[in-house]
Amino acid sequence: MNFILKKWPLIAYLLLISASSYAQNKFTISGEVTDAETGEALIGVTIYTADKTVGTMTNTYGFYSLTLPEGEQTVLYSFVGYQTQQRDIKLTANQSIKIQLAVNETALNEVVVSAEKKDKNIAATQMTGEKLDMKTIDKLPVLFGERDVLKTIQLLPGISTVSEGGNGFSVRGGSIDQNLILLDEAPVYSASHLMGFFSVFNADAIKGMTVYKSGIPANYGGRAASVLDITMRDGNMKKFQGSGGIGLLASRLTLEGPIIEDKMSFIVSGRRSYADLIAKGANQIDDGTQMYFYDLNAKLNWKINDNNRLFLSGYFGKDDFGFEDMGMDWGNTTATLRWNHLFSSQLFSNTTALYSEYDYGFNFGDRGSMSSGIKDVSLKQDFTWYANPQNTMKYGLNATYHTFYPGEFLFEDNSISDIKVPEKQALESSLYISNEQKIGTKLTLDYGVRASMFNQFGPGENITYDDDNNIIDKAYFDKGDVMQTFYGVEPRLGLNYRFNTKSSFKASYNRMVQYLHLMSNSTSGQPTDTWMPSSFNIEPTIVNQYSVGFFRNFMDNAFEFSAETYYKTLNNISDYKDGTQVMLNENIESYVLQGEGRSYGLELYLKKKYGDFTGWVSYTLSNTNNKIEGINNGDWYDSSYDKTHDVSIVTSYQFTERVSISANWIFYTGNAVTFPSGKYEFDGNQVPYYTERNGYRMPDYHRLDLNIHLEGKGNKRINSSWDFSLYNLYNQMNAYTINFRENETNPNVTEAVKLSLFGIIPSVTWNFKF
Amino acid sequence: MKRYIFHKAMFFLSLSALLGGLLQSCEEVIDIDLNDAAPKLVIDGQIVIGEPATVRISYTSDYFSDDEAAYEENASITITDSENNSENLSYIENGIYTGALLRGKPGLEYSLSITIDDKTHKGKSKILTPTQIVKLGYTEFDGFGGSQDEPEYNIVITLTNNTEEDNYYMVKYFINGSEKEDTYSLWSNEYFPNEETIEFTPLRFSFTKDDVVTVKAYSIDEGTYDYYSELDEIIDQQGGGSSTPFNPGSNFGKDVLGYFRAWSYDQQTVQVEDE
Repeated sequence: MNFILKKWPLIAYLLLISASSYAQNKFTISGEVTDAETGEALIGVTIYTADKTVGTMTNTYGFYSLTLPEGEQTVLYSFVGYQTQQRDIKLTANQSIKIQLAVNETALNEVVVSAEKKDKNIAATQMTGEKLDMKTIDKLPVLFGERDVLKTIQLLPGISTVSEGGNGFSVRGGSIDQNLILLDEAPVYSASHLMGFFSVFNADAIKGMTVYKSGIPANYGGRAASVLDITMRDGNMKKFQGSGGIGLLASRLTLEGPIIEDKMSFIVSGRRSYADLIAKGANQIDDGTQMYFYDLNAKLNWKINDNNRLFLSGYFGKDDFGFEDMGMDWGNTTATLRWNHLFSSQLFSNTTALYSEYDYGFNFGDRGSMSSGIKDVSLKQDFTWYANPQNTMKYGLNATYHTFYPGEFLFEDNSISDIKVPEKQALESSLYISNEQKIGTKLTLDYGVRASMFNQFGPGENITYDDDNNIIDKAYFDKGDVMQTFYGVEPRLGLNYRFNTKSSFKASYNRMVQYLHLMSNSTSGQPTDTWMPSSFNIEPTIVNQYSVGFFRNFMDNAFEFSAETYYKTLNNISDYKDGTQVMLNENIESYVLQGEGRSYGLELYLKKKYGDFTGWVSYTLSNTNNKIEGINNGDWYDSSYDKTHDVSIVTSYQFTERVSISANWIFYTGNAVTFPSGKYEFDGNQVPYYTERNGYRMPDYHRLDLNIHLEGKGNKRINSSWDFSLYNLYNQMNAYTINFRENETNPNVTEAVKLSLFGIIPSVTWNFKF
Repeated sequence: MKRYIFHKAMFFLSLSALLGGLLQSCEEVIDIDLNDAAPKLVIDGQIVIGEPATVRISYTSDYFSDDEAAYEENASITITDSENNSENLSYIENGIYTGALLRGKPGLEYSLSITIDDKTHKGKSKILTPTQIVKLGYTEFDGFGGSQDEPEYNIVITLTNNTEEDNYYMVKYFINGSEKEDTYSLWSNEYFPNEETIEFTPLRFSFTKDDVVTVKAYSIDEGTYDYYSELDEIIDQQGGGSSTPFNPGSNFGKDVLGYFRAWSYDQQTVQVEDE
């Protein structure tokens, strides 16, 4: 590791020497691209020369750097929904060029931008980094009138819902804990409100997001299946404004504006549900009952000067359920402090300090209380070196100190000893280096490696168990002692070959090592699931993924088509022994069974991006299996996340300037589940008899949703719009669970009972902006 | 395995609030194709203080079958206590065998040995200090309320507890003379190690003014506690059916379903009084 650290400039130099050797005099243009109206940094703006031979894109902070030969140059800046800007530059020295792009007013509704570089999907090196902007999300039908970024990504190929309404999602057969969800770089450990029916991400506070399923760049790590990188908005640098919405279940308000014009801005966005207030009003629940969630996003953005910028952002959210003095609550807190610094026009640095916490608790009134959670403190240093137009190198390091609170029960009565599952501590650290290299005009390579290390520290015990979960040996470690160490070397490779401007071939390989494990014996995820470190008894999960894809655009780029296929092998995936209780189980490690897994699939995606009629069709055919000693005789069995077919059809039609209608239809194969294959009588009860795990399937799931969006008349102080939604339009009673039990009136008769959560649900939301 | 109380509390608080209160969830009996597994041996054995052992031996049947399960008539069964007294059980009918002489005593461990077709299965259980119901009352349920016109009540029960012993308790609730309990609750000594008497208000069982409720409070050993905890996961899946179901672990080993338990119980009846 030290070798790589010390020698990287040399290695980098050797890599780049071929590209630089023919250069005569070259200079760099660099700077920031922002929205002309709000000052918000724009991510992913394409910057290219008029002859289209050289180009780059703005990074997460809106920064770009492009090195060009001396002399006259014409450079274009283009971005979806904005007017393309052209700059004629006489290049005789490095130049800082700040660009403000204006919204293309005529294109606001139609999203037709003639100068837009429409073939971005073909040219982009990223294999499957799918970017979603909030405009797309705004138009989709919603449940209870709440727009939801996590629901939207589940409509993409390879990403599937794990249960009705739930926010836990599975990427290419991965479990829900294999997704790294980042909000302004801070990991979010539990991304759902209200038992999983709403995500914690308030759409008003979000600028955009990128989801990676394969070819995951080396600067991300720590989860096995995917990365969902969500960026919060920076706040309007030009003027004060507000926006919000009033819905059936929750309302939201966002305020933003400059503190110092063009220098410092803020944004504060809050949301609270009020189902409890309505239910109390309607006498459905008692006054002492609590049942709500709230969240608050806040961000401060300070451009100190051209070379330095500071961001401070935070998220606070909570769910609260209960009645009288008993109840439960859970929530996340994250905080991110970032410093962008330009060492030169070609070297961009981002220094980040992070805090993230998730916890949940129960309150049992005068008997006691219980709590559990995880806390992270993290430091991160990332560099981007825009060496030349052919090579962009990223490198950096990251250290995260995790503290795990698996659970404790504190009794009010002091005569009873409290139950405390000991805290665990671990340091996760990593180094990475990667280079995006353009070879000729057709081939782009992105190659890199991430080296990771995980140390579990004392105080703690390494416990040896026998097969019946009995303790047979213990080794005690003092505070600060290293209890267990794991290493990972994670190569990341991506390749993009452009046949022409219409079609390209992409291939990637990545290895991911995951050191954290979510202890959960449900598929969909519950707030009470507990995070645990890799340890003496639990090995890190390792995934190797191979992926190839063909991308083609039709009809002047109005249609995008892609076909991708992947194959994954997983080592040390976890399942549980029969009847495992996760909560407050101090010996949970002995109940974890680890084995291997595999997943492969084909993903087809056809998208229409422009015109009055837009939308996409996505289809995934896949297979995911596990093989774990101790389950189903050690044979391969279907994973709980295996979905053979998964179809999403998303459409939106702009009828007039003010009226648009959108609809989506979803179909997927039912989850693999465990049903009985017999029954027996015990102590007067009819008991189901189970013979194998995941041997059956839930019924197939399908649903149609509809949304009508009405834009209010403009030219007022307040712009308003209405959203009328119908969730599950044809009232399909999809199965949430199927339970097997005795008939209530005749206990000798056993029956299967399907529980459905949502029939047709209408909702209305009024949105405003001032 | 002793986390039962929290697990159930969680489901009660969260899911019932959500599913019952807010959403228009709906239940429906459906037809579903299930495999027919090969019949597996089921042993349902018990010995109670002052009574002889009884054992019922049967086999699993198809899940939706309405026929009586097949039972075993040719088992050879012996019960032995930790003082080395033993007795062979005799076959009565419908797969049921009973003893006559050896009766349950507190403090003794009992082994049940069952031989069928040259294969022997053995299970053990111990009778701990019996518990007594000191007080049985009720309280009006003041939970989510509002939706029911008729008030509901919860049991308030006080039991004796031997602080010298690792006791476990099960309370079964019977409504209006029914032979089968409505449901049951389990408690582990680790939450009340030093209390001579323990009081509970189990929220999982509620009743109305017209009901006559009989409560049986069992003193059980750790194995029985674990078995009934697991059994409860399987037979009472309300709302929580997302965790992987399984067969509760038998004290006869993996080849057998069911359990042999040695226990004692006290019982009392309560009804809501007119005010």
